[in-house]
Amino acid sequence: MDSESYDFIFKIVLLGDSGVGKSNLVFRFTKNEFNKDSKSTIGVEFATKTVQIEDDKLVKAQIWDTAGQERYRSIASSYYRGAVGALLVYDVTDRNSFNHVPMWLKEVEENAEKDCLIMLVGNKMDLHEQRTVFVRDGRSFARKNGLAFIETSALDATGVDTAFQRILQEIYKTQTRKQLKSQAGGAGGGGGGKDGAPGGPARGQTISLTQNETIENPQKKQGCCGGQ
Amino acid sequence: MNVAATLMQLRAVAFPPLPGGETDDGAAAVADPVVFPRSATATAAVDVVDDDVAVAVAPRTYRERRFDAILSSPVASLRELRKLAWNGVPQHMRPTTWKILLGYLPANASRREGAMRRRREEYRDAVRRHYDVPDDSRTYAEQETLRQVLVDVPRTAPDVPLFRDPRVRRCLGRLLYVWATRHPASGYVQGINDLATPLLAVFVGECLGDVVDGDGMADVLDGSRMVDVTDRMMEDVEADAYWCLTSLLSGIQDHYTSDQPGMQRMVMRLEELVNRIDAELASHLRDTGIEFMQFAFKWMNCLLLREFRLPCVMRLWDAYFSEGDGGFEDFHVYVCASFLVHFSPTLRQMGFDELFQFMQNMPTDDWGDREVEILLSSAFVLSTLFGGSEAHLNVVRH
Ligand SMILES: Nc1nc2c(ncn2[C@@H]2O[C@H](COP(=O)(O)OP(=O)(O)O)[C@@H](O)[C@H]2O)c(=O)[nH]1
Ligand SMILES: [Mg+2]
Repeated sequence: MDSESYDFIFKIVLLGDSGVGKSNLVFRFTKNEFNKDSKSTIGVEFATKTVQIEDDKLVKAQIWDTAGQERYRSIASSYYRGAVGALLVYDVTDRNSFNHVPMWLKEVEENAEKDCLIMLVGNKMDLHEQRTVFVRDGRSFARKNGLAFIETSALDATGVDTAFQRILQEIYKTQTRKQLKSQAGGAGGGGGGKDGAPGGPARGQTISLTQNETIENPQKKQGCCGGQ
Repeated sequence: MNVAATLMQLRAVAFPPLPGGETDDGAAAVADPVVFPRSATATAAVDVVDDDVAVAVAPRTYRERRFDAILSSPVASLRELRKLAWNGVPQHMRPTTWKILLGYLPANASRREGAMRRRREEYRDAVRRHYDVPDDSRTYAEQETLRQVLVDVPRTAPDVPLFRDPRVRRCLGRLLYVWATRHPASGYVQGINDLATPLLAVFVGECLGDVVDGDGMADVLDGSRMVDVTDRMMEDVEADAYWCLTSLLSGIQDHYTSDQPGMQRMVMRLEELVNRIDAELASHLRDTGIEFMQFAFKWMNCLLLREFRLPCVMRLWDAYFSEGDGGFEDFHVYVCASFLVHFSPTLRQMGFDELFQFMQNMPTDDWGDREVEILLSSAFVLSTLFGGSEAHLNVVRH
């Protein structure tokens, strides 16, 4: 049963070519595991982890991972709906995966929420010898496109926690700022308090940011599941 | 139609009391679940009361004799073979039975040898033309396909040692690539790699000749018998797997073409079906906000291969192949519905996060033939209840 409590729940999606290490980044972050021979992702995979930010805020990250293959676009709309953060992953040893970053960026921009924060992630930085995409390449692309940037290794764990922690932190800032604005505009505050009710996951949204539509709330009927 | 009665009936089949421990083959005749045979063409419920029910609970040797009789007759009766195979094919008869049911081998016994030789040669030729070529003569799309296939091969059934064997991996990569280049309308789609695994495993087993039910297959799957398989044998395994995969996929082609319309159709039909047979579960799923597409996409795309261990999949496929063309399209949806409803009491206790995580890793590790047969029986009941009378649940095949 889901008995943990949290103050916020944020939906984060991963995207990038197949094989760049998206699923392993999720394993590493949520379970501190690396699975050299994990199966390829089919459809959508889902994991959660609750972390602490700003000393006292508990944030539950709801992480959606998907396959990188073109064909799977049929499930894309429900995938992006409500996402407030996106990790756009490439493989530093695979130039092609970096060349495809603009395409992925376009896809998030078209499908995700307007204020979805995007972080560019260069994974497999442990493979020094095989590297073909350099730090400066990633950094300059990120700067030009206004993205956050980090390099990681799901294998040896470098940068993984930092990547998720940083994006959650940024999302938190953006969302609270937005909420303050909307409150000033008379929208009113939501019911506060931590949600710990087992079997009552629908209360994930009754926390501080209730009025904010951009916070992912799959439990609410119209939340992330409108159409077919 | 009385849905409550339907549900009762379904539950009665789907949840029989399980006797403790594993049951072994024919030894536990009484404990065998009732598995309904299904004739090749008719869907009428009358078929249920057919003499094959007796066969299902008879000792294996008798069943094997019946398979033998069909397979070795001058012209195998497809109708008989289907009826028999629906209830499970003994491991060592599976290779030939599958090949015939998939139309790779002719029913006419005297023509099988020649037909197989020609197809194997044809495949080798295709490998020469498509695979054994310099990389710079491949189109951009072909290079992408090759890259994707090579990324996926080591990620295919990584928990089964057989698929960590370098020769098996090479075969898999090559046959997937050749299939993709020869079927550009869909090309290689992730998940097709999974579909090749039961075929490869069964045909590797065939080379070893003496693979028997149960543990015999375990020897094949754990890779320990690969030393007895020559390269020459592997070439034939690869060719046979290629043609059988081609035949399987030809029945469900629009599952893997652009936007995957076949997949979407099946997920919709599953949802419709669950609405009727387990309204409580359906409404719980709606309340939590989970979409069928989010969990059932994988069930359709990989035909439940990600949900079951390989021996269970083989048993499932005995029935699918017996269903003919509709097996992987129509009947599969009923199997998925039974599968979901089987876990209904558990699922109805769960919220969104928990549901999502549970459903991407259904607890079937301890499942064997017996559980699969229960699933098949209940799917059969559903198909007779909802298949014939509900026009909109029927699929129009072209
Ligand atoms: N050396 C190294 N290999 C990695 C790393 N992350 C993933 N991999 C490997 O890359 C392959 C694809 O990983 P996966 O997580 O399935 O990629 P996805 O398709 O993007 O989800 C697997 O064989 C992993 O073992 C990493 O940080 N370093
Ligand atoms: Mg993945």
